Amino acid sequence: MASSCSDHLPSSFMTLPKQNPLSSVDAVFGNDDLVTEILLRVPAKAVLKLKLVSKNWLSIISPASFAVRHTRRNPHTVSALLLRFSSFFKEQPTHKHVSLDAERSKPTDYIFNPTTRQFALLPLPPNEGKYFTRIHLVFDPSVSPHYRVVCIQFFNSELKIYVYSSETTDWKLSVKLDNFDLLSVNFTNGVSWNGAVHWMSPSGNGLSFLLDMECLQTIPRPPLPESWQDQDFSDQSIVVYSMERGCSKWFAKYCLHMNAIVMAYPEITEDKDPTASPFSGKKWV
Amino acid sequence: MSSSAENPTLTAEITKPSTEIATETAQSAKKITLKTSDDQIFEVEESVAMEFATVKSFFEDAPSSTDTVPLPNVPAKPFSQVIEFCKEQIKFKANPDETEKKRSNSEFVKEKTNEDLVEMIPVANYLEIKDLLDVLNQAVADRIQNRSVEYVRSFFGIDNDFTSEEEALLREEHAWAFEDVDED
Repeated sequence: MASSCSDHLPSSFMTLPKQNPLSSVDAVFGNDDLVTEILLRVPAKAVLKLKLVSKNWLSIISPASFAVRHTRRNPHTVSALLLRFSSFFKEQPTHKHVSLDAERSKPTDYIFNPTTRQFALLPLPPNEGKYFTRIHLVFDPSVSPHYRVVCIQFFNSELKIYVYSSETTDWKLSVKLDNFDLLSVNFTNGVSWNGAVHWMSPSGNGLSFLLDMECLQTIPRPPLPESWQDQDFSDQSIVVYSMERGCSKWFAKYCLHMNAIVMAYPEITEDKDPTASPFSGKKWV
Repeated sequence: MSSSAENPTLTAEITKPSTEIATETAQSAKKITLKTSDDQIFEVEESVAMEFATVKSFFEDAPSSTDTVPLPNVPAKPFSQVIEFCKEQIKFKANPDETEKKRSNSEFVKEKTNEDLVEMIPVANYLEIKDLLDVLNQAVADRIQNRSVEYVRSFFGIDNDFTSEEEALLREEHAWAFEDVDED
């Protein structure tokens, strides 16, 4: 009798459940929708493990449609990373599916899924190596299960933007501009957000590349003081500006008064280690 | 079968308040008679029965019906626990208090066995009690997430239908997911 062994235990789930002949157990098991609803509430790592329960559970968990629903329910996971390995580096990814081609002198890019720990090799974009090149991952699993990679190429004042899609597994030329002034935009630090990649400019307006519309548009420069690049923050305020949706203008989102922070946390000024500065993020994250 | 389902007096105690109270509040405490798949009769207050969307729509189609409502997919044991949950929920309808409701819900699942939870899920699904289904799904997810595959099979009464080669291959592919599993 099940009740006799669970009576003296503080909570019933400390014991291994008995094999249960009741028909309702078969009903849960027999109804994939009910099992799916439970599995959507189990954290990603544990769900991977539960693929081993049975062939039926494997068939529930494996499809991309389940991954999409699970990601939408649990949005606070890092969805993907773009990793660049140069053959000069000794360190290699530890996953067995990744082997670096030692003959390759160009950087090798991988898309990494930190949840499943799967790697995918990104094929080289057309004309790689001849150009100044920057790449950006654009991926929002709440919009599409497919990721895209934007590759910026510049050669002889010609700017080309290629887009790779994991759906088509191919690169496609999206934008081509002649007489482009490379120095007008800082292509090194792009931010991908809302289906676009945004770059700030050191001197004037920034630039956005809208993937779906296949076009570039300028974004206004944030309201910064002249000497913003070499400011000493320690005795003033930090204003955090945020871009409005549609990239029309900036608004001040937060204002941090450094004096108040130093008074509340005097230890931040005592620490001589530059990496422990509050602006490195280490102490505040 | 567990003791509560076999014991008719216990079932009666849960579902039938004493007749004196029932006559005093005759207006508000209209009873609805429901018959489970194992032929047990439950007399449930109308306000509780209306928590079951399936039963509610039965009465929307036939408002003056006094017939016994058959519940062919609902065995008595999980049904009496579902009634227990719905009685609590009604209190929060009159007096909404999210913190207290959460506490009450977690108290409800805490004292249930794995078997209780697994049996209630199809009942909550059939009767379309969304709040209860949410609570049960989350409770089961919490109980299985750090457990071994063997424990989860046993939890749901599922037989392993993989060959040992297939299982070894899957284990290797997802080796890291098998770290940090609680002991059964």
